Amino acid sequence: MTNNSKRTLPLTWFFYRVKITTSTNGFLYFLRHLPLVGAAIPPTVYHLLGVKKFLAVIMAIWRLFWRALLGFGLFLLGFLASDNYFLHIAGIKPATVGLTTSTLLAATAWLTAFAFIRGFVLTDLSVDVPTLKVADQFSLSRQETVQATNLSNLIARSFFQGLLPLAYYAALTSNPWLLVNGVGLFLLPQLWREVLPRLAWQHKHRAWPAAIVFWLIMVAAPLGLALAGRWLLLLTILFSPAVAVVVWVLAGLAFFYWLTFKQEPGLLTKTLMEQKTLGTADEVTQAQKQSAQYLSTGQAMQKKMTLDAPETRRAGRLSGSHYLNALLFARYRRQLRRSLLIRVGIIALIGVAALLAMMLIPGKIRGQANDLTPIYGALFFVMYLASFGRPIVQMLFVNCDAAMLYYPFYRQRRTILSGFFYRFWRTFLLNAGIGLLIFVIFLELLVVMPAAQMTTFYLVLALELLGLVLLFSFHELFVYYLLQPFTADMTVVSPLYKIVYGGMYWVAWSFTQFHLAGYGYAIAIGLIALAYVGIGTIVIYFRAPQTFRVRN
Amino acid sequence: MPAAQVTILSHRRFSADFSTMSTGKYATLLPIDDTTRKGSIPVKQLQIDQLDKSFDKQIIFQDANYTFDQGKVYGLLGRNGSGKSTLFNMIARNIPTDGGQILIDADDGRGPQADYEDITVSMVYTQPHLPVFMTGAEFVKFFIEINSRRLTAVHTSQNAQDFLDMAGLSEADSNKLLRDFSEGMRNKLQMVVSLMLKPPVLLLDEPLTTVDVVAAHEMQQMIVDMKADSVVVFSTHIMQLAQDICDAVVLLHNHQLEELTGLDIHSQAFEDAVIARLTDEVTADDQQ
Repeated sequence: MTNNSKRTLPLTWFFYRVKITTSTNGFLYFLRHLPLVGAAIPPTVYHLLGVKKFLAVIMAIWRLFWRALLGFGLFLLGFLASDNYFLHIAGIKPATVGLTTSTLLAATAWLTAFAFIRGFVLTDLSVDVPTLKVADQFSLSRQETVQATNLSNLIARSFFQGLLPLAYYAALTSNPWLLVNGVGLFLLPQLWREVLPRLAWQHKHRAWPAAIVFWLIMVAAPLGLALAGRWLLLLTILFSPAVAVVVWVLAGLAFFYWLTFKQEPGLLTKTLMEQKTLGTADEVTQAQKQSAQYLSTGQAMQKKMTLDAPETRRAGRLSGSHYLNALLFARYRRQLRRSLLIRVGIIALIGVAALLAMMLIPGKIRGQANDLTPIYGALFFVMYLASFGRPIVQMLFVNCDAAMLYYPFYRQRRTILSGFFYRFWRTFLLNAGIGLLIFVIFLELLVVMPAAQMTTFYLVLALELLGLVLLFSFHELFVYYLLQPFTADMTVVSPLYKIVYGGMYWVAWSFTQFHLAGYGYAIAIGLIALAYVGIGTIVIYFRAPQTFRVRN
Repeated sequence: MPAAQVTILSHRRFSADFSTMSTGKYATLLPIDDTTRKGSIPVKQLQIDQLDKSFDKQIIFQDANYTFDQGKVYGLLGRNGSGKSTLFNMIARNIPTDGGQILIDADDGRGPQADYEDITVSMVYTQPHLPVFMTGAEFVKFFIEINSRRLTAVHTSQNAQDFLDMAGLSEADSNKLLRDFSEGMRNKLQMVVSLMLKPPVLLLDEPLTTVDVVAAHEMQQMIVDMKADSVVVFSTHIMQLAQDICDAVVLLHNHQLEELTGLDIHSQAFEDAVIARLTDEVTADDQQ
């Protein structure tokens, strides 16, 4: 056993404890930042080291139990496959084949499926990026970490998912070869996952032929025999003493090759590099990936910023915070205008298509159009999708606030409020363009259905659209100023922001699902939006100077 | 001459603190038995051999060669984008080289090795890499526990309180989550734990940019102390810092690694020569 292998258990337990400790602390941190509840939890709560250790033990036991449960569950699925095979392919009633045969075929199905999935490998090492991140944080060897993680996973999986169910069914059927050969066949695909990348690194041209041979023997051959109706021959070969010798010798060789492989550092660097390009490795890439959904639009806009926009010169007439914000919007004017045109174009296209359909296919559609109030609910989702609130917030942080918030003058109440209202106004203008277009499209209904009495409908529609435009212009900015979730390196650290961010989507989506109709709903939305903007403004006035700053 | 005295003489600005740092509460953290401190020839080496690296069509290194020795603090200076971080990342095996090789002689009797283990190199990043949802005390406890074997091998204290003292963390601070630490505090803690392992090669990528003056002062001293055990390479944009703590300055210039020699590192002439070299003006060496 190599030195690295001896460290497998201590390292695995260490990584597990770090994981449980950080998760527990993260949960406590989240609780401490909740309104009301948080105040009751003292900072000393983090000192409960014994509790965290106990939790780690409990969670580890649960995880092993879960593995065993999974192993038995998958084996049972093998019985399902076996019964179906006998019934539909072999043409035999499953009840007549006996427990031993049925169990052997179930095991064969399960092991072949396992080989199919585990054998589907690329030439990169199997690495767990969060664990590697922890290894870096604790100055641990990445090689040792990868080996320990993979080896412990292999042992735990083989014992709890493989050996336990196989031992149980071997005892039940009094067939020791089910256990001996079964465990060997369960091990081989897992070892193959370790062998192939190393083989490919060492002998580039031998890897793919080897992979094809593996698939032919482990997957295609059993499947071919089974489909040819030669299930008896298949079971006789698979659970014979000769195959036991072959399988265990191969497993031993694979183990030896894996654990004594000398070119691990180069292969690991290559694997990490390739995974980086896929956006899945190392801390920086992880953080970028995580923050991408929150800031990708802002970062993309930054790349297309234009310095020579005509409005840049006009902004020169202003001063202070207004000048700064006017300059910012001037430099993104071209992009914002383009985004507005795209949104307007899409909505106009859908609107005109609907109007044309009503003109060309009278009857049913026109009949439905007599009651248009269900459209009020859908408008919420349309405005959510078309709103400029989110891209503007991203643009503001990436291109301005990430740098400016370090200056004390920028965090003064007057400056914050002045900036907030200027930005709100600019967002409102853009969103109002969309709201107006939607209103105009509905006005066109008068052309299609001149007889309809729709004065009340239009008044309520105007109120709702005004409310929605205000709401979506205000909401993102309000949340941004109140929670400011971003760090200087563009990572989102506020769990509450993530909840609010995702929550708004579900709120908007649910409005389309509840089939809300009637004037009452639209009036309520309009009034609630107005109230939200009013109350929110007061909250911003008092709270934003404390909350609007770059997170650590 | 004992190493501590050598350090004092070659780093005039911190002489008063050196004596304080190497006694009292930090004394237990110093090596018990280190032959390099007794005046023998330093043997740990980092060799850059015909190194090539480019990104797309941008050449960063082309046939670059240089050997860094144990016993000196090397300052790595270069313009923005010249490849300082790229070089560090290649040495730390975060990215591969395009050609040539990087060899490390860890003084383990095997000579220079190209397939060195990644723990042979310890890298201190500008932005600290720490588990933010751990308290300072928990982090140190876990760190000592999992690195016990290596700490024992380099005769470093395994007392968590020593680490916390060295990082300047009070009891209240050490029981806070690392995410609630200032960046300077996190940086200092990261540097302390990296230094305690005494890796054969220590790379410091602008580590003092976020710490306060007192912490920077203490950390400079730690870096200087490390040269007795490791090959220490320090990248910075701050000329004053390089002049204060480095024994040699290596420039990343025209895709090459080049040591600036022939001038007193603390002199204005040296500073002018660095600026001139990096701005492609007439070089100091040519003038001589």
